[in-house]
This record gives sequence, C-alpha cells and structure tokens, in this order.
Amino acid sequence: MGDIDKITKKIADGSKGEIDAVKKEAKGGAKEITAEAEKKAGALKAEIIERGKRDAEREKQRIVANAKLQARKLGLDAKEAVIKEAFSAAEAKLRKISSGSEYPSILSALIKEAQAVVSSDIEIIAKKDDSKVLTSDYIKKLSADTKSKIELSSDTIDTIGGAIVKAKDGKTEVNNTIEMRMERMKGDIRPKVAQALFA
Amino acid sequence: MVTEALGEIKKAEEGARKSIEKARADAEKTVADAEVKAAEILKKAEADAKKKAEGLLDGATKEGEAEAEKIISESKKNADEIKSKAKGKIESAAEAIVKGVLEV
Repeated sequence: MGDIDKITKKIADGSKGEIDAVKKEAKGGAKEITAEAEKKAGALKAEIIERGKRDAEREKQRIVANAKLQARKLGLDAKEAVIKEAFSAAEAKLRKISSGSEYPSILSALIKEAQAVVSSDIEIIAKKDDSKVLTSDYIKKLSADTKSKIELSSDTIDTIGGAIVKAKDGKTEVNNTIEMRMERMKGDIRPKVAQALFA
Repeated sequence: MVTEALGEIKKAEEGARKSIEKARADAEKTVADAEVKAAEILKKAEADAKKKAEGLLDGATKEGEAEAEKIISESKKNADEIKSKAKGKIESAAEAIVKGVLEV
C-alpha cells in the first residue's frame, strides 16, 4: 500500500467512526422518544378511562335519581288525584245539601257566624235561588238572633250556598260562601282527608 | 505526482465529509420519524381510551335506563294501588270535608 492510500484509508476510517457515533446517538434518541411516548400514552389512556368510569357512574346515578324523582311525583300525583276526587265528591254533596231541607238552618248559621265577625248591621248577598229561603220572616229572626239590622241585597252571587256578609258602613266584609269556606279550610282539612284516604 | 497525490487526499476528504453529512441527515430523519411515531402513539392511545370511555358511558346509560324503567314501572303500579285502595274511602272523606266546611 502506497503512502497516499494509507492517508486516504485513514481519512475514511476517521469518518466511519464519526458516522457510527452519529447513528448510535440517533438510534438511542429515537428509542428514548418512543419509550417516553409509550409511557405518556399509558398514563393518558389510564386517565381518560378513569374519567370515563367516573362520568359513566355519574350518568347512571343521574338517570336513576331522575327516575326516583319521577316515581315520587307519580305517587304524589296519584294521591293528589284521589284528594281532588274527594273534594269534588264533597262539592257535589254540598250542592245537594244546598237545595235540601237542612239548608235554611245551615245558611242561618253561616250568616250568624259572619255577622259575629263584622259585628254591626249587615247586608247579605246570596245566590238568586236563596231568595226562597231568605224571606222577610227568616231575616227578622236572624236580626233578632244577632241583635242587628239585616238587609238582603238586590245583588246576587254565583255560589253553591252561604253568603257574603257586608257591614252597612261598607268597612268590613266576610265571604262565608261554601266555596270560600272550603278554600279557607283546605289547608286544615287536607291532612285529615289524606290520612283518611291513605292511612 | 505531488499534485496527483494531493488530489487523491482531497477526494478522500470530500468523500468522508459527504458521508458524515449524510449520516447526520439520516440521524435527524431517524429522530424526526421517532417524534412522528411518538405523536401517533399518543393519538392512538387517546382515541382508544376515548372509545373505551364512550363504551363505558353507553353501558352505564343502558344500565341506568333499565333501572329507571323498573323504578317507574314499579311506581306506576304503586300509584294504581294507591288509587284503587283509596277509591272505597272517597265517600267517607267527602263526608268529612262536608262536615268540616259546614261546621260553624
């Protein structure tokens, strides 16, 4: 081998060493990048699945909770429907009573009760049909019983029964119609009715 | 003769320089490819996990809906029972209401 060949071989050998080092470093770097990516991927996957499990469980609980609320509402609605039916039946009975033989004494008691609240001379406003009950003798007796001056208004109201009682000076008024009494008493009566129906 | 020898050496040096440059370019490509592959690994892992999470959600939704259906169906039955049991008590409840309303 000549001197020139020796020199060129040395140059080639020198570059081969550098090339091998560059290749080795690149391979190592690539391997590290891949390993790091796989590690990150595993963690990311676990995090997403864990979050997915939590979301899924929450969604299930939400659906079941809504169903429980709906179920509770169905039960309450069923009870409410029965209570409403009982009040409707009561209203029908009250309508029947208001055209029956007991009604004059009931009306008298309702007027007296209202007069006691108004505590003065009064005017009575009742339904048109009650003119048959509210005769002058009937009113005279009411006046005597309540020790007040009582007049029957020419105005009429649409009601099952009972009356609106107004003070003559117009300052006080008591609505003692059957509907209004039922409305006022609903709060007190409802729990008793519910107890009677569902106990 | 000397000129010829210097030419040979220069040629060898040029060859070595080019080989090293190529090796460096190849190395850069190897690293760049690894980075692309790494991004793909992450992307795939995310997509797989999301798919699995969606499956979990679907499963839980179905389970929840089935349970909900049972609850609603049971409560409808209960509601019907409430109505049916109370039916016979409506008359006496109505009587109690009438009594309450007319009690002065």
